Amino acid sequence: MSTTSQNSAVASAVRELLVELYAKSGAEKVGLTRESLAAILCEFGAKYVTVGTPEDEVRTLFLALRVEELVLARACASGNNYAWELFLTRYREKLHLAALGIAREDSAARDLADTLYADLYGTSTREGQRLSKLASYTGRGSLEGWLRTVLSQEYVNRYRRTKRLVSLEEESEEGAQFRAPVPEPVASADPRLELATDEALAFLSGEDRMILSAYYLDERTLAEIARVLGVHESTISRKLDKLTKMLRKQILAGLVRRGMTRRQAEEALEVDVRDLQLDIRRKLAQESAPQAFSDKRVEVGARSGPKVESNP
Amino acid sequence: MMRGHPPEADMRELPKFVVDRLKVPAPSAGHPDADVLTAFAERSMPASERALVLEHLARCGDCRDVVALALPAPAVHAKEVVEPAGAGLRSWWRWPVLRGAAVAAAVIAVVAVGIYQYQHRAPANVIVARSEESNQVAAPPAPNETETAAPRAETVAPPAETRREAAPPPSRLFAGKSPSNTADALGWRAKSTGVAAGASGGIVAGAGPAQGTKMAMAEPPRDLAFAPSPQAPSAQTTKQIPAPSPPRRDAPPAVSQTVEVQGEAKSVTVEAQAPTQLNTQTAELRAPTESAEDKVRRAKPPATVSGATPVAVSPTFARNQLDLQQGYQTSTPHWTISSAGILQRSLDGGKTWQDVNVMNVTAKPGLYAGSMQMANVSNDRESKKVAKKLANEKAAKPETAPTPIFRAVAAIGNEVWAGASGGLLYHSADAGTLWTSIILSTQGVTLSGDIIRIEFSDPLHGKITTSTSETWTTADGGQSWQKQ
Repeated sequence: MSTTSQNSAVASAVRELLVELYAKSGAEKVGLTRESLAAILCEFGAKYVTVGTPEDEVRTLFLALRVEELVLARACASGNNYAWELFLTRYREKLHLAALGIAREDSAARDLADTLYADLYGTSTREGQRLSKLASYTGRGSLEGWLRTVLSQEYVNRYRRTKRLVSLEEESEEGAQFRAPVPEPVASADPRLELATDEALAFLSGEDRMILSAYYLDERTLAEIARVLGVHESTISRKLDKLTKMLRKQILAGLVRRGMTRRQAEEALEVDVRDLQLDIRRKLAQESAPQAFSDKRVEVGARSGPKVESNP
Repeated sequence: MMRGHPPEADMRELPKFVVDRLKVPAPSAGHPDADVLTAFAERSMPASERALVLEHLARCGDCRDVVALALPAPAVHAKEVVEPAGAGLRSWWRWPVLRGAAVAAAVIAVVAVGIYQYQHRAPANVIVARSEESNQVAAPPAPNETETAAPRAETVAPPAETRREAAPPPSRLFAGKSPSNTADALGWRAKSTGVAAGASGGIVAGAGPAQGTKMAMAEPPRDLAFAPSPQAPSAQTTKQIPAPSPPRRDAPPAVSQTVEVQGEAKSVTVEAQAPTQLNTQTAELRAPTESAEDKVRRAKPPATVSGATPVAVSPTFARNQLDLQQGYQTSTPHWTISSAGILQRSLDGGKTWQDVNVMNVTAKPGLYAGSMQMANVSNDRESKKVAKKLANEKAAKPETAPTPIFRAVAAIGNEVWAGASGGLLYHSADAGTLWTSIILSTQGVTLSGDIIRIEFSDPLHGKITTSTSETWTTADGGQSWQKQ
């Protein structure tokens, strides 16, 4: 990460846009000086702009900043009362709704939101200064979206903590700690299968792989994946079809390249599906989300409508 | 618990070992922070960075969970994007229910608007439909019967609420219906059986000047709802003004004045077109006269557009603008975006600001923004009434949908463009009374990210910059947009 002084593009963009951004941000209202805004912007630049980024890109980045929300967050973090009032009026309701949407249960939602409030307000201190989580908001997305993301992170973290506790208890109750370790699925009959698979997977773009993972591992619905990626469901549906076909084809080709006959390769694919199913089912069951998550997903899937193509 | 997916998922079953190989140990460090994930979810990051985040998400289940959980609750009305004809219409338009509802809603909308217009004795309502086959039903100019004798071109698009439900991209609606219609790369197809199609058989059938095609719309055919409504940029029409009339602020303007300044209707396409069609259209548009120049000079970013910009070369134009505005407001409005992302208008030079609600009058964001609509309000008494009524309605109608978060606004005279988060673009051709939501899309590419800057150098030429570093330009007053 470059320092601000190294990155002249940032400095010049800040110089150039400071007046505009300052006016746009309403920083005055929450008691932020132009200098402090400049400092915030430089800090942002140092964090997200790498050296050598073309200047117009840097400018776009700055112009895309939610500078008003950024300023509000920073003013809150520094303890400005007016800013806090503004923040609460604007986001209290939304935050609770978001928490409810994530935890799906009232008390858990309240708990989640309260935790976040504590973080936002900054209960921990360093060198006499409250550490507010709001200080880490940089305005790249909406403040509301950021709050939802932070809530989700908190929820995922918390859920993982509980999961660990629960599974330990359950395991000892069931005497599972004495269970012989699950034998590693003896990598299919043929190691070539895995090699070919890895090779085929390596070809995938991040997005393709993410779609596959979200669908097959996280069991997200088409609608959810579509919303994450901001495309239409049918696009995801088509893409999944294409990807699975393509993967099969490439794995087959990989196997053939590794010395199998076409037929053997096809068999390996098929046999493996049947044979490995049990093992992997167990493995998935172990590693996958507990009921809470899968329940939620089903609900979400149902809620997001009957759109899931019945006729792709 | 194996699979929560619908049965057809089996069709794309992956061999289990492949699924297994998808699982990789999640990266223990270097998770994108909440800011980055938010920007990713809101699609406000450059493509290069987005690719990096996707790479991470592909391997990190936790972050995938976070992003999925943090999605806002799905809107009641799912965001629908205008896709090029034939591209994406298979899935949802198949639902008969939707189709029926859309048609019904459209009919209701149109009839309602028609009645509304009649009640207000709208002197001339023009619905211009782009349709090559409908010239025979083009209505002749109707004599004007209002007291002021000032013809007023009122083009009507179905009101927002209904249209949102009702209107699919027209391409979807009509694609199957009139295969002979070739000119519709523009996506518009209005088989307007009773609708005026102004111009003579060109691609831009709707490009007839307003005063040439006036037609009351008591009972317009249902297709009407999907007909592109005309927009009325004033520039090219002024050439019809024989001579500038003397500036008279309070007196009602002469007939020619009012109509010609704002009257011309031309068809609007929201989807960008193939260049060939574009040419045809721009040919029509390319007649900027002095007034256009004039407007250019008047054109300034919102902050500087003020009533006191007397650079006007053509007094006619300037006066008309003023007159028109004075029909319902006192001065050229100033525009700004409030700190909370609300579009605001000031009619008193910035002393007081009112929130402007773009949702009331026109299509909601997220839905296809089919047609442009606009009402030209001349400064006769009639229009004052209309304007007042509109304002009242606006105040009375409760806000039902979430208001978009605005990021940028640009105004040139009465033409106002406002860009919001999520790529929402709104346009008003009458200084903010009527709004149309527009979705920019060209050849399957839709504008993504937030609109962070709108620049119009003149009423025809504009540029939009998004948070994802996309640039879209128009050279025809927003009828078509090209991604740069």
